[in-house]
Amino acid sequence: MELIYPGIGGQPIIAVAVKCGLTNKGYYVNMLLDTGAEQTCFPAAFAKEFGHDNAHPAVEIHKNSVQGIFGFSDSYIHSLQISLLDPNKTRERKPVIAWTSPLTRAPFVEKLDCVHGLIGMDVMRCWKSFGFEPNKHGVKIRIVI
Amino acid sequence: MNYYEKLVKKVNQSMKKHPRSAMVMDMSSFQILAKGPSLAAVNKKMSGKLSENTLVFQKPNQKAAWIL
Repeated sequence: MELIYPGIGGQPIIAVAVKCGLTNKGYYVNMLLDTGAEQTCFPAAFAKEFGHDNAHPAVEIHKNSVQGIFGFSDSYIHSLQISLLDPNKTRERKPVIAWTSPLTRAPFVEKLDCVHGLIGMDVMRCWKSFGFEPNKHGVKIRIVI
Repeated sequence: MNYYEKLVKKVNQSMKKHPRSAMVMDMSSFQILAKGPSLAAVNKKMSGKLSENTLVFQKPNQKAAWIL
């Protein structure tokens, strides 16, 4: 199955469905397809948005577990599920899921300062193929699952 | 133009209109429900009302090269 998305903001960013592992509530969130990221992750500030609490004593904290242009950073591990929307079948108030990642937990990174998550190679490796096609509007993203 | 393409078009238009703001958009009406300087600011304005029908986004800061 081939999924073709126009990139958001002219970047390889797509809107995905995220289900919180605690509440089972679903959200939409933008995520950058980041081939340089080993792990799928979110900014720490997103945890609250998904109904998680980074300060809760039961939350697993991995000290200096993530490295990037910001140096090393702590991350908070939360349970969630990421799904790709079918761009052709999704309608208003009726998201159609084309594919769901086997990932059930993801790090929320303290020093990651952006308003989207990163889809890393841990998720992209599960797809048959993917590619970016630049055009005058930005970029088209082709994912084969 | 399908729904997803229309959504991306509306998000891009909003980013262009408010280049410095983080925004929460209603996924049905494409209305901006809240905007502010950061994700924390819009979260506060929405006071926990982010739902299954909203999308948060912000245009990357054009003054800084984005090298994620």
